[in-house]
Amino acid sequence: MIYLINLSDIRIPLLTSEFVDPIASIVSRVGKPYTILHYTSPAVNKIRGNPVILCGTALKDNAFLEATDRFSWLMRCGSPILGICAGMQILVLVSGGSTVPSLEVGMHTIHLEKADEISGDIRNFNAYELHQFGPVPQDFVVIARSEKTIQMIRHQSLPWYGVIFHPEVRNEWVVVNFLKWSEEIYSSSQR
Amino acid sequence: MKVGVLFSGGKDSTYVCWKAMQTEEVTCLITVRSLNEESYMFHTPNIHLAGLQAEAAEIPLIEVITEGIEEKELEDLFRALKEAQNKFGIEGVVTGAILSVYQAARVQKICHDLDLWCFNPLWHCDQRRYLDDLVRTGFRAIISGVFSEPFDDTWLGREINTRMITELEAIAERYGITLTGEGGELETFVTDAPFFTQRIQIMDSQIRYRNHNGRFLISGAILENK
Repeated sequence: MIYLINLSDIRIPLLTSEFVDPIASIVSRVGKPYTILHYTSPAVNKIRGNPVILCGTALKDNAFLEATDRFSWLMRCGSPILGICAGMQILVLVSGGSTVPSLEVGMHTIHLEKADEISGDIRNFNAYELHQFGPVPQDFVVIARSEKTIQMIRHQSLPWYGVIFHPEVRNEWVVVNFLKWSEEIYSSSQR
Repeated sequence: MKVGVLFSGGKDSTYVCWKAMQTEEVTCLITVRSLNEESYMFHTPNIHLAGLQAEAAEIPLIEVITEGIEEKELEDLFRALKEAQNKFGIEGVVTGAILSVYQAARVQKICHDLDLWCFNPLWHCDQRRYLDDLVRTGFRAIISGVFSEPFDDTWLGREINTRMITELEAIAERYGITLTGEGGELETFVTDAPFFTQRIQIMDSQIRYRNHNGRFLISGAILENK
């Protein structure tokens, strides 16, 4: 079971179809079952080992940043995690990093700095940005950058990935490859 | 939250208006009428009837004219959204964008500059599921423009129904176009919606068509009771 965590403001249901459903569609297309939980749901505390995708949210939505204490479960769940945009910001913040103002909207060119299992042979690509904060990560390896911001990171010791861009727009490979990689981790942990 | 809907009179913007009405307060529709038929941002046939559609929906309309010069037309959109903020107190804007990064990014930036929320409920949706829902929930929309192969003049004026959606699906697969026509292949005009208090009856129209490029131009329309 893949867990998709909805990071959008719970008072604005309109955001779910824009930021969660497209990710759910990708997961569904690769044949994986999923469950959508809002980050405020107590059920997130029961996640153990299952792949987790922290979905993005609207440019103006910062409600999740005021509730970072609700994400302490990430440190103890033992799951492979992909953080998308807001999700990446949360991964950075719960692991001791910070964010800085960095507005990027629209398509930007991303340059890979490090070869990685998820990015494979990709070197440069264009990605859809919709954020006003960029990450200042701690204990992460930087995999890719745009001219302005760190774009893709991998934790040095935990099975965590973060992308500040929105892969549901023209870069579904990020989600697909993350799910494949998660499955490999899970399979090897069972042996 | 009070929101304004960026409204072209086509199926996508009308559908998201209805979606927004489920949870937010839609206080106005916002239409940008372009004098430039080639505009990438605002290019809809029959946009002059947005007022009639707004009347059918009983929602106020803010209408702004633009010359449609690329990037300059965004100043006109900014002006329209600012007017919606001042007159109707909108805190957010709803658009019918599905795949168009060009349009979505530009509206997002303007909303950011005005400190407005920007909602795109159809963003990267399952297009077949969306069109099925459109028909199932009682929207009535006709094809008002065709702009690519293989669409010919026989498509103009046709109403979207399940049979047409299946045809469109086969065409999308064969020709690599978008099922919803959002790639600019098709334009639509909504004559009825679940939230319309009256429907639109087309009284007079002309077809202009040549080489997979045509418009169903409505020159006369009235409101009639449902």
